[in-house]
Amino acid sequence: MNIVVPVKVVPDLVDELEITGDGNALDMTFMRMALNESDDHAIEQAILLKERGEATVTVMIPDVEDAERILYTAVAKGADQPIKLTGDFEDAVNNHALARVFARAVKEKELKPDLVLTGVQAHDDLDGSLGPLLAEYLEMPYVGYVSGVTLTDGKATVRKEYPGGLIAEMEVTLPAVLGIQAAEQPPRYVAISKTSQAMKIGGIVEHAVEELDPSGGPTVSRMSQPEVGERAEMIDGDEDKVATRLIEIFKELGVV
Amino acid sequence: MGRGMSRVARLQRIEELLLSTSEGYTVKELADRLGVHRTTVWRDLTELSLEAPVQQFDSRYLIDPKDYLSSVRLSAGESLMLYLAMRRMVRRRSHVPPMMRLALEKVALALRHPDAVQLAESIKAMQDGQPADPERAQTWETLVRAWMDRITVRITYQELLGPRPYDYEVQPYLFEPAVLSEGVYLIAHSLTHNAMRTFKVERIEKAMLTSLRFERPQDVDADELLRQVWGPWYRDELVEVRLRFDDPVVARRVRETVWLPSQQIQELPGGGVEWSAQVIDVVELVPWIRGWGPDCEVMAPLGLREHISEMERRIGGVMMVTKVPESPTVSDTFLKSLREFVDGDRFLTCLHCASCSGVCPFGYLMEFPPRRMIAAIRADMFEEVLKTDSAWMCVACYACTEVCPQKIPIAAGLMTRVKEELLLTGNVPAELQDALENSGRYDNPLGESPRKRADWTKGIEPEIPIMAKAKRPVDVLWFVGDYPSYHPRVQLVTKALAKVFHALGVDFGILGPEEVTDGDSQRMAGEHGLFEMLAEKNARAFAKYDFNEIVTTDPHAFNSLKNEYPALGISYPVRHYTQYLAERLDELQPLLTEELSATITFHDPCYLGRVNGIYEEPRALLKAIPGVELVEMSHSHESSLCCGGGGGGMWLDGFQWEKAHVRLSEWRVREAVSASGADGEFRTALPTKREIEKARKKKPGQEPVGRRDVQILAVACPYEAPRFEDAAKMVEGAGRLIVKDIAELLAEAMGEE
Amino acid sequence: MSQDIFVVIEHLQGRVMDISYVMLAAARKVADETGGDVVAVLLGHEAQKMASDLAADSVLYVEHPALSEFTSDAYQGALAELIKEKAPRVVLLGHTSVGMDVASGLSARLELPLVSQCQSFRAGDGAPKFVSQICGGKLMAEGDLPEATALVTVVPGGFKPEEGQSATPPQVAQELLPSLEQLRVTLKEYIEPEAGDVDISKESLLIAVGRGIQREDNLELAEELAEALGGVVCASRPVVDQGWLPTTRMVGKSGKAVKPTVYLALGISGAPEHAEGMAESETIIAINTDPAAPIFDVAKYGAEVDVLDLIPALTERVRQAKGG
Repeated sequence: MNIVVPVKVVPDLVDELEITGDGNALDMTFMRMALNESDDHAIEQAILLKERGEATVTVMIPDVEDAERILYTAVAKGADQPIKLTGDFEDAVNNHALARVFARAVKEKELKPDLVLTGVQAHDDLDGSLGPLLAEYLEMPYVGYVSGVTLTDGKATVRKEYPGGLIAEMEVTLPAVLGIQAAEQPPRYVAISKTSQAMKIGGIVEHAVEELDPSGGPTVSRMSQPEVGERAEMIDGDEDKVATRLIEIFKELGVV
Repeated sequence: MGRGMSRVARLQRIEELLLSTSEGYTVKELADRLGVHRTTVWRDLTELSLEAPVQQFDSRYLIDPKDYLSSVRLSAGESLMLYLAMRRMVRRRSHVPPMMRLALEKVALALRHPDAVQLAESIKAMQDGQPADPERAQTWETLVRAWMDRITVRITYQELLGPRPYDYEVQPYLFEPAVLSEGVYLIAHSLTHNAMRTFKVERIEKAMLTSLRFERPQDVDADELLRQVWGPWYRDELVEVRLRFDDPVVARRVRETVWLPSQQIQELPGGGVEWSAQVIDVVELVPWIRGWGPDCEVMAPLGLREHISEMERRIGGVMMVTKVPESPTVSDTFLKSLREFVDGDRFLTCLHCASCSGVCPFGYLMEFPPRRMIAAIRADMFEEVLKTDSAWMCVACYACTEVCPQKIPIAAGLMTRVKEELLLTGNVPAELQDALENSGRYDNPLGESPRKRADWTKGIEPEIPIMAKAKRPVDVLWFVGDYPSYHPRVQLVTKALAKVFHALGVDFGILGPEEVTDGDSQRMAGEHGLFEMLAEKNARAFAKYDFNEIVTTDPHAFNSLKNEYPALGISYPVRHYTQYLAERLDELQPLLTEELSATITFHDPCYLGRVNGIYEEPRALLKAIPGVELVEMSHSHESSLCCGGGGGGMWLDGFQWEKAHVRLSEWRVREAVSASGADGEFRTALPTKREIEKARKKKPGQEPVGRRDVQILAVACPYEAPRFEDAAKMVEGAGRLIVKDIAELLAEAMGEE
Repeated sequence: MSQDIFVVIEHLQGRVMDISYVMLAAARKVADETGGDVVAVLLGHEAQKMASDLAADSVLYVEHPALSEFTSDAYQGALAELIKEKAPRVVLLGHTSVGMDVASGLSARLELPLVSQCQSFRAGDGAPKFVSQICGGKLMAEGDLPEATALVTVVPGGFKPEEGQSATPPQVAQELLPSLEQLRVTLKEYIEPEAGDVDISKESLLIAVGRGIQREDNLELAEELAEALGGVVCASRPVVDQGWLPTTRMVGKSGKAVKPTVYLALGISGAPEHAEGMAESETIIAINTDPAAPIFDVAKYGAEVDVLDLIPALTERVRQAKGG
């Protein structure tokens, strides 16, 4: 059973986001990037499936800052084959471009996945999510918002999440692409020493990609930050005055 | 000349001649020289070659002086003594190395007694009856060479109680025969342990010279070294061993011999005796004690008694057989790693007294409290420990280490290593996982942006110098810390300390965004790899700047920088801010102009107090504040109760709460309350002068309101202010207890609000 | 190629989801600019009645047993056919577990441009502009709506569901489709959420209590207020630690993260460990006697009165306002 996990990095929201001088894109110069959270879950789900039965887990990532550490952390968790796609990923690439290169890499490296797991979304997605695009390019079916995967011969039974806690159990023929919302357990911790060890052993395979093709995504003419919240507007007076004012606010909000 | 010479003299003369030549002499030349017949010379040469390295080239003979160490001139009596000593040594040995046998033969021959040749031949025969053991012989040769030429040697050594052999690198200093057992000890400086160690040569399986030479330090005392012959490891105090022999016949045998120089014999009614002696190590006595079989009862020490009876039970009183497992078990590997720790061998000396489990604040909730953990390791059941989360209840408060009679490094060695094992399997509570991942990614466990680390300095006048911007040398590099930089409550402490530094005119600077977490709590939570990575980042920042010393807000950072960083090659003078200020108390005192009428009790932070022995400096600072009455809680100094924040405890709050439903900080707050007499509603600020006046007016004729009405719990560690304030809100009656860091109190006493 | 705005209606277990109405309202705004119609696209099996309150100019109904409940393969197949044939100006899909499963797939299969996380539209010079919110709400991205056919996934918040509802049922036109073959995704069953304690992370109105509530008895006051307002009581850590409320009600670092429309924080200081769990709430109202409490930094409105005084006063007024 071959499981391929394509992952990507997204802007880390811990730091302030800055806009370029042109005003239409994120300034990537000092941008700190982090592994997309649901991709982390995808890796975890893949490892869990490997632990339950025989499977090889391949993790693929474009060549961005920290790519190697992300790959070796996955290896330390149990991933078998780390692949780094090399090419020009300097400018923010969109999901269409990424999906195309991932699909080509899968074909060119003859990975022949039975299952492709990827995070169901990323917070910087402006052109849809990666998974369904990849599924089309690989001619595989796709189910997203998955929080549980069971494999039986030739098929996957997945738990798909809907609002309000409703779950739909779906059956998907393999090979398939799944958009992981949450792994069946939170991504495990890996001690730094294990990642360092994996780094020493090495083993990252590089795969060169050609020019990126972002067609299919929108063109942004303006990026801006919503107004920063200020300190609370304080309501004066005793409890009666405050209560009265609160009722007004509730009415405005449509609560009352 | 020749004929008149005794044979001894003649042999000596021949030896001298052979030594002095570089071309050698023929038999004829020697015979001519000595005035004796050639046959005599033949016989002499044969004899001489048994004791001297005579070389033969064609028909010429000579001795290369380099080939042997010395020629000792012995009288007959002296030779006999030497012979007897050697006979004794050889008699009970299972294996006699060739060098020993040869020496014995030579001494026998040197006696020049007619029987000597026969004796020499019987010695030879002794060797023939034994299987050749070239490897052992080689080991002896290697060790002697290493000792003579001062070469570091790598030995494969089987400990008496060890499950299998381990490798050590040692510098041989001295050899000494064992007393009660057959054997020879090598006393060496072990590079592996970084300490003196004794090794029984008979248990050295292999020895290999390394390419390193060593110099034996001048101050090594031979007597001191010899003291250590009594045991495989060095100890501080003597242990009393008491044995009881009830049978009068056996007792007589015991009385007849002096087994140990320090022994004492006490007669018992009924004809038996009690034998006692002070020894450094007890284990060496074990074979001797077992030799007595059921005739001997061990009265003391308890550990030995248990050990002997355990062995008797296991083997039914017959000869002891050590079971050597085929491949190392999980417990083996873990124990080995423990022993690599500083003082790690002490884990083998655990008496199972359970003092550690008793004093541990959460010991009662652990499935495997410290004592039981050690027992499990020894019982080859370490996997069971790893199945539980006992280790995550440990807050690294060092109470166990403090109270252990064998000074076993329980907190730093055992608990940290167990946490590391759990981490390596991915078993780590979620909160702690976040803190560790944040530390790795954002250089602080809180997950705050590293760029904002110095944001607390905004608006402070005079401006706080940040090294990268100030670009000048400073006297003090102030290592601020995570919570002091980011946590809103603790930022108040940081700002107060800044004020104190300014008032004192301290020339300081901070690293700001270049500072990363000191990593001590992460290290104690088992993430040594993370700790090293973080330390290296700090080291790079330190290396860029010019400063005389580091002063920390946080005792954890102080501990880390002082005690752990040097092992990584990062070594700077460092002090905690209380030490720094206490040293400058005479300058500080005149600045403390505002009276703080309050009863203050001081909580010794674990990493300042128990771990580093700093108790008086913080108290000196508090006493310097006018109007303050300092009282002690019922647990203070070494016995202080931990706030629960260490060893990862800061990020195991939820986890530990689930199990304990009580917080250590709350226990401590209760003590603070009863020590200082606080009760009533909760406050966060000291009463204003007006409030004190009002209170004073309310109770005329009584003690002027002041001290007894204001109760403060003083702290000196950034984890504590938020922890204790939270706890104070939950503890009934702790409402009036104010929690303040010493820095805050000093700032207030300076009139800085 | 038409100027119509298609809206893919989302329904589960026979119920039309709110997002569908939000999209219809949004579609109206775009249609006003393009001059086209708002066409609701309803896929299902014997599901015509779901079209009754859709505020659309017309409804395209595609009937097939395989479409009775949502599955990605069947819906994507049907929509692909429809969009290829009809070539609308814009297709709106929900940024949901339904819409997101098919939107990107359609973009790849039909080679159509896709914009996601769109919250609203603005009138632009010539063409309407999309306004999307990304990066956890920290960034707004605007741009021209791509040339036809543009696929757009819509997030809630920009329009109210009521604006997409209609009293008059629209006209329904049934479309026939070639059979959907070789479906690779099938629905086996739905699993309802466990009945049990409330999931506060799914509530839109939370009344949060902290240490300021002082005693367990006072919780009752908060429960009454919650009932009157139609919300649910949750708490900060210390209250849960005391055992006054179960851990399922805890908000914060060690508890749940919540994003309700209204978060009323009563007697909560707002320490970082708690703020982390609720700072994303749309409107935060904080009551605390300590003016320096950090909760006021994340709250929109605040007052420095004692919660034990305020709650009864507020509950009374709420009851009055709701028609008591």
